[in-house]
Amino acid sequence: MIASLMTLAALWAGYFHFIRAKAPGGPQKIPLGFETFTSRPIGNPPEGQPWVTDLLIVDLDGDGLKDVLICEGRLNKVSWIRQTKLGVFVEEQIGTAVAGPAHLEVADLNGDGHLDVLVASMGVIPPSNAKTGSVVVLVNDGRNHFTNRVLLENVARVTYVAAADFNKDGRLDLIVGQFGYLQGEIRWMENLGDWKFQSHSLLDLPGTIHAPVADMNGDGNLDVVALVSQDSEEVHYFEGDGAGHFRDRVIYGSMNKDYGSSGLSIADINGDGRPDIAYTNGDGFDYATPGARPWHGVQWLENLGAGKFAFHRVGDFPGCYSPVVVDLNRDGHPDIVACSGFNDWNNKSAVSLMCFENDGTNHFIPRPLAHEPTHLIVVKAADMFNDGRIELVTGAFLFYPPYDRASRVTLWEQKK
Amino acid sequence: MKRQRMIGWMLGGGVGLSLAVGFVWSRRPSRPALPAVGHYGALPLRFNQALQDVRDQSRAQPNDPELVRKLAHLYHANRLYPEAKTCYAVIESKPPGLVARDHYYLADIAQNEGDLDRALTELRAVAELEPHYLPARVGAAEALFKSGREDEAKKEYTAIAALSPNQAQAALGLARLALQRGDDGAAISWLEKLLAAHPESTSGAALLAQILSRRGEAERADALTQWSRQKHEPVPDDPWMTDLLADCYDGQRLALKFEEYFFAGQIEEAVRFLNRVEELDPKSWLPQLLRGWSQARAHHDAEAVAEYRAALSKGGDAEKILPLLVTSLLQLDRAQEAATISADYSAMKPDSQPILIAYADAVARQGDGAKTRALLTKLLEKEPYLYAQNLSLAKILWTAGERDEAAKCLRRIVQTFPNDVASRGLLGQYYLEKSEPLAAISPLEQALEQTAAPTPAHERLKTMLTTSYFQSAAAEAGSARFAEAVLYYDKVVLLAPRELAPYLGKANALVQLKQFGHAAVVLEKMAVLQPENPTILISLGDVLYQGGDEGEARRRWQQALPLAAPGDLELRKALDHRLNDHLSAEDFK
Repeated sequence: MIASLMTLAALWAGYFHFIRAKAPGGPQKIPLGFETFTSRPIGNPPEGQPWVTDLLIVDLDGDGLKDVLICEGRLNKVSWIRQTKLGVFVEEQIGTAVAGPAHLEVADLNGDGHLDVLVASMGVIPPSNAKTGSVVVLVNDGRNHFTNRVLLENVARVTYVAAADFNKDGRLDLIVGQFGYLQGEIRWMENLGDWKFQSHSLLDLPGTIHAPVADMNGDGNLDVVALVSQDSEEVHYFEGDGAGHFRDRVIYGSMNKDYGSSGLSIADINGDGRPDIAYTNGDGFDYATPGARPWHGVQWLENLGAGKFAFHRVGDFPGCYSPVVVDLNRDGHPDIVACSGFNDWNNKSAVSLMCFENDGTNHFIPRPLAHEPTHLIVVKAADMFNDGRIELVTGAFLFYPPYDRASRVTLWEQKK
Repeated sequence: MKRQRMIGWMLGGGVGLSLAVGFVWSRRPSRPALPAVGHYGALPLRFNQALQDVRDQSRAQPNDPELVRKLAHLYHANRLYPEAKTCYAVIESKPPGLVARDHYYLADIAQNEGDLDRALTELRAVAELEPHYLPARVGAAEALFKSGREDEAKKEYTAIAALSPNQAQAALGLARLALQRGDDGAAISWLEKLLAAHPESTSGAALLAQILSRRGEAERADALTQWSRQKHEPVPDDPWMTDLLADCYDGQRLALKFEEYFFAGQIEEAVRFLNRVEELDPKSWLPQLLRGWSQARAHHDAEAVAEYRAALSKGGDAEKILPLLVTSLLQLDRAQEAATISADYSAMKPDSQPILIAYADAVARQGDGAKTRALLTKLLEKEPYLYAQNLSLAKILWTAGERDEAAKCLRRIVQTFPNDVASRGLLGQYYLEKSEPLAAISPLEQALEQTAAPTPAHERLKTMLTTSYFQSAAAEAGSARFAEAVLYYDKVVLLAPRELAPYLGKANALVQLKQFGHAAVVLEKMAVLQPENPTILISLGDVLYQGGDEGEARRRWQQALPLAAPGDLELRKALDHRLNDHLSAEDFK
């Protein structure tokens, strides 16, 4: 009887596997590993050791081809790596100099139908408590010409800015994260029209890395989720009421002051219709011996509804930055891609780019994608060529040696 | 037959009973066992030896919970959390079970695994068993805060404050909770109490500074900001965690603890960790590096040099150590020694930027200009945007008269360092010397913004900028771009309001633009500056005349008449010409 039962089970498993493998219509799942991608540099060659602090994939000129915007922290400029035709990229600086640019977003801030570029400017990238921060918008005239306009200046170093209408008055407001150093803050800037803004403070702490906007609780009002590092190492949830008022709560915090929070993004990871939070800790910057720590890695906060979140560790990854939630292998489950800015680069087997593959039950299997180039501080994902495949774009921040496997901006294409 | 049936029943019953017992036995919860014996290659040999010793002892005395505890501590202190938890499960499974300290360590593991709920459960267990162990109470309050359970966190912090009225973390926690509620007053009150009891609380000072700055209390905010830049606040006392670290064999973890205590100024504790790193791995160069670094920060450069040299002789990473060594040697004015050792390492690693930088610094201090230039040029080819090196090379080239090459260095600094004054000042001077005043304006404007008046640097920059504006204005006027010229003259006037030349230039430009009324206003200002100057009054009259106000023009010419020197025949002739109505359009061409 037992033998019969076992035989029946085996037949069923085999049948099921056969059916799954032969299911018509869907793309084939892509195996993830060192052989998945080829890489090539795009944009201008490096001048010295690049300090790419952020990049954004966006069709800036609306020509149907995705471009890449980057900011260079040392050269104080924002550049547009424009895809002029499929697979061909040409770089040009846009606007005039912006001191220590750290983050980019796009929005049509003045409602003229063209995407403007919002820049979070730290003033200086290395640690400093000086009030060198500013928010700058590169205003797009629609003819691929951008003009700098300063919206906020002489404040604690600004590391994040994004646009959203928080008070439903039809005008795009701004959320601004200021890392500062000893002091810093988060504020939202209410758009009063005619390029005038009024600031409202949300948090009096330094260390903000990212503060993206989403309706986290499905009430139709925009909320803000902020990652605050320095000694806090907390994720804050600012619940918006749609009228410009926010209630701040900590939804998760590490009690390790050296946790090294480094990046946060919002996406529905478990497919339950509620936005979750992916976040990385990998900052090994401000020490006598910079570099990797054994507690660096990736985690996600599952949105349980009613303002409750559950912590799940995804995996360890030294020097981890920039979590991106994307179904990289086309199996229907969102994976998490991240890069490493602070690994032990003297060790040639240290990983610089990783995918944590979602097995379908929200457990993640680490799939290293590359050992080089090294010092990768930002990664973004998109279907760059409109062919159904996901490409990755990385930016490098070379702060400490070795520099033997350096890059600036790299495009990663899946092998066919 | 009956007997056979009975035997059959007995056999069947026996089998059934055995099956039932077997079933029940297999379903019973298994007693936890110690972790499997393993070798941890990533950890030092001494750790594995220590582990083996304790395993051997616990095999000999299997019922001794203290040995299992020792095993747990070894695993825990070296971040082997699953193994540590298994050991604690073994302790828990036998009487007397877990003690307060075990729960505390389990809480630490839970925190490191991100499980704040479990951490809280363990910390509450500690509080039940040892209610006066404050680090556990504080940990519970923080776990509640970081889980978003603000009301419970507030209760816990308040209870701690009642137990220990000057407890720093409780005061800071209550301040933060008040801020979350939007209650600035309460937050400030808690922070003031905190700073009164703990003036060394730099995080408290920084937070209070931020709040006061937001509320517009700038002066006190600035003072607190300055205060918050002092050394880091002391590491909170936690004897149980300190004991645990005695079992730590992880060099990196111990080095980080060293840094934490060092930055807080707790040198004795810091040195303890450093000594342990050295004890665990005598071949490691990390202790020498860190010791040298801490000596250098205390300005004991001779001691620092000795430590750095020891680190190098142990095969330490020259890219990390040599720059520090050279800095200390230069502090001691031992440039020759610095140059020699740098040359050796540069020969071994010719492409290393940190080593090249150190070498160039040493050679520059020696005063070898040619060699410094060669090294800096090589370095900047690899990394064009280094500040000090670009500035040094710019100065060398400038002195050698190679201004164009120097300007390249200066432009790189200007591009990369938005607040640098020296490069902008020099670049401005460069463009002025090349008679390119327009190009000089931008760097000089930026530099002037950064310097406070009145300082010699500010005055010098102001003078150069004034010259740039003035020359640009003249150039624009010379090209008949009079509107642009006026704008530049206005800028000159702002910087040098008592100089006559820009007013004159502006007036002339305005006349060209046929803006006679505005020109008259400018000449009026000149007349105020030099009331005894008849030429100004004549010009003013001319402009008024051209503007159609002949009466006022005449009045001004008449004012000039007594001021004209008797011997100045030309001036008197010009005045006669005007006052006797002999003026024509030709006179104003």
